Amino acid sequence: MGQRFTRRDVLFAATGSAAGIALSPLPWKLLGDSAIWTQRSRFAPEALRGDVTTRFSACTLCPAGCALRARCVGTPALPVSMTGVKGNPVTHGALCPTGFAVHHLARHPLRLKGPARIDLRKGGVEAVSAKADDVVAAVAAAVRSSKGAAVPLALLDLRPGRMASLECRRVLAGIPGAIQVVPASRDASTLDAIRAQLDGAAAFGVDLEKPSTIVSFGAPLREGWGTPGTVPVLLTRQNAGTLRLVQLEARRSPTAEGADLWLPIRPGTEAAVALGLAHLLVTEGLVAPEVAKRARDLDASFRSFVAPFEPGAVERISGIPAATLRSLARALANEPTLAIGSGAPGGEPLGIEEERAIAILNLLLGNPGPRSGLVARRELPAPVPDGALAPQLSLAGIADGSVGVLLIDGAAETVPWALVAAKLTPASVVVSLSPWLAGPALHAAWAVPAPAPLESLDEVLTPAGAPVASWALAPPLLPVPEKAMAPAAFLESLAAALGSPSAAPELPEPLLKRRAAAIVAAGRGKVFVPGSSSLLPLADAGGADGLYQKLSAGGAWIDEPVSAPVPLPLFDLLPPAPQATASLASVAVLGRPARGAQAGPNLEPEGYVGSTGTAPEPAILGKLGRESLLRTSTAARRSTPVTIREA
Amino acid sequence: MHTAKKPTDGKNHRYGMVIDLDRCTGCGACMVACAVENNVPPGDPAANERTGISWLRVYRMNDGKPLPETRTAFVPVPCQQCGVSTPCLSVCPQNAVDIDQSSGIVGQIPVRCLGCRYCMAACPYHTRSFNWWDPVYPAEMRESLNPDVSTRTRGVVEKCNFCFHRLQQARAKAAAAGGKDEAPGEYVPACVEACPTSAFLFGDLDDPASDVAKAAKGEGTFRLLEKLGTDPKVIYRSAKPWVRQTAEGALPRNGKEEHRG
Repeated sequence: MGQRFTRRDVLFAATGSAAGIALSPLPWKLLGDSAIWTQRSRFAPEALRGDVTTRFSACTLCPAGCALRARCVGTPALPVSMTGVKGNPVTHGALCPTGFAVHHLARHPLRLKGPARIDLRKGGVEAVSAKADDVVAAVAAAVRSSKGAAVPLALLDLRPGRMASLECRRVLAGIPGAIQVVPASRDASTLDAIRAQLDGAAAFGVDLEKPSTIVSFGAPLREGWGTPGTVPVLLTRQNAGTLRLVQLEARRSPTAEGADLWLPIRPGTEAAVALGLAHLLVTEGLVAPEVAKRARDLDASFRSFVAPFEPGAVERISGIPAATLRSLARALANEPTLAIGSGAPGGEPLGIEEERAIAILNLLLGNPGPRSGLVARRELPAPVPDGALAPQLSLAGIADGSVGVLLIDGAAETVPWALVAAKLTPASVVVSLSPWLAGPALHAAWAVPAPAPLESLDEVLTPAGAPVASWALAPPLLPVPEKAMAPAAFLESLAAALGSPSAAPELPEPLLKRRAAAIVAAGRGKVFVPGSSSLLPLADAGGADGLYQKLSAGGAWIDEPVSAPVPLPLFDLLPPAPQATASLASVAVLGRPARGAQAGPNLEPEGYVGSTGTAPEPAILGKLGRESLLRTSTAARRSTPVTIREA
Repeated sequence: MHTAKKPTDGKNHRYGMVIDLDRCTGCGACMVACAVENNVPPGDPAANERTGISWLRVYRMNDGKPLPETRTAFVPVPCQQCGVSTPCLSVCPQNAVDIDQSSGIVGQIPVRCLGCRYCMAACPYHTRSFNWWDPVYPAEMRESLNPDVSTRTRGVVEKCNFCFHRLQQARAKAAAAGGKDEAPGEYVPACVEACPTSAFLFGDLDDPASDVAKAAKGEGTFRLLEKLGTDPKVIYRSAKPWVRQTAEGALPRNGKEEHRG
């Protein structure tokens, strides 16, 4: 009898098989394997392989100059991650978020690899590659045709004071009419203003361990004023209740949010508030007797000058209630207080008038003094320059409409463009020496990119506000593009094209060794050794060469603090020039009128701008904004008195 | 239910961290350092705070007072490394969540991950991220990827693992030196190392002599959603009552999220 297969049998067999397979490991194995197969994506990049090494350098993107410990992989060793250098007494091992990805910036999409013509006519900005000789010839022609301008050629140095800056001045000296221009330091501008009030007696720094109260006129103290390494000191003291932070700022910045008292003043009224506090100190007899003895003009003339800034008037100008201002002035007079002004992080400094008003407030509070933390600081030793140097002027010291050709040396535009543009002639030509098609390059006709941070040997000067001078080196960690050109080399080519050939610019290494020799000759200070986190006396550093080697290996030279207090000289509170006094009064009184009647506090949009001005940000920093909303507004308005007046 | 075993061997550790919220300024250095260390790519142009990938997010919260009296605190939230009833572990059908018994670290194994996202739904802390897009590493990152961490692709979940590769390195270093156990302080995650204000303390919570164990038992400490009983190994500290009260309840949702429902 033959076996019969019915349709039912087939269905049974199929169902049984399916059930059997389902109960076997096979489908689960397939699921797991398919998960693995689908991840063998052609998009997955391969990481570098090779030996892992540690190298030291410093971030030169902003003047803070944070020390870097780089983890490098492969041959040649390329950095894959950055951390701060623990134990470094200048930067305290801290880095800002950008510092952790600074090695990404050399390969940023906006990086310019060689000279270019900046084309603004195509609905955007485009860099059209050009030959270096053509750019030099074009800029030389522009300089020749600017002979009628008061300043035919100016170099705006956004990181002044470096040996490379000095070298540029030396090369510029060979070009008739050429000058170097330096902007005001954002974080050190208050200290510079106090120095100017005291007739340049000494440079000042801030010892944050000292003051009981800090009145900050917009200084980003909790965001890294001077250097990110200052934040831990401030936080520790604030949390312990030994330091009170009063923030006068229009923005809802992280510092304002973390201050013990936040007074949201109207934008641009810093001078009025400072003079209002000065008025109260004077009229309520809160000025210390020793200050009254040293101030030559603390008489009827100063009283009449500050008379318009009585609390009621300041309330109308700034929006700060008169009662609040009164209680603040009384509190400040009773404890060691320091007033600091600063522009927005990554932005520009407050105006000259505002800084002068804050300096006056400091002088009335008894600063500099032993208890307020405003300490004298020695200058960083520098070698005597060889040969003639081109004149150096401050940006504010140049007449409007006077510059024919402007070269901008610096990666980040830390000065409002409106202030720079005012100095240019109508037919001016701007040349950007920034490594990126960003910041200064967006205003330029030509770009001659310099090496980016970490691509060339550089130096790190004393951070703004530091209580002692310091110096460190930033050895290169990345290869430099073939066509990148150091600013001094470009100037040399330009000088030759203009028929004023100069000696070839000195290479960075011998230049920096000259600074090391000057420090050794000064014979003071200590050397930080990163491996052991120890401090060596300078005498044990092994001379100039030894010091240079130690700094090349991640060390830092730190000056000794000035132990003796600065004797307070006789000083004038008001500037000697009548027009300067009038300008101060005018700026303070005008301030910024209220934007209509507002019931609530007058606030600018909250924001947290980067610490690098207009240099491009590494793409990974998008984690802080779009991907987390930690920084809610990357396009925050940066209102400071200067920008408001320009507006 | 899967449960992370408590260490029974004296050589085991229970790594955890104490985050002092009073020292966090919300700078975001920890987030960037974490992303660089773990090869987390920049988000797709369409990514937002919900679809972007961050192993550690810093949330902003305030005390609800009107401006300018309002006070703000920042709360860094990595994977909380739940020690008991680890929710993501219990729901994963692929065994892609793994607990290392010698360290107590809850790890994620992307190559096993199927992308079902059950773990994301189960995680009460929202510390897991899904790769909605193929990762695109811009040229600036391609040559600086960390060779110790694999890159991930579209369709898998990833999360913080306390930089487990650093633990392996520390153990390898200890083994090379003839020891069996990593030295205290030798193993530190990238976020802890990066914090400029030293808001993070990291170490073995089971070592009573460690700073982190002492800090964990200090005043003003709390854990997120402690009432769930998941025994997180990330402990927070703040001297401000409003910070503790807000964070103990739930992290505030921003307006955008509320709008999306």
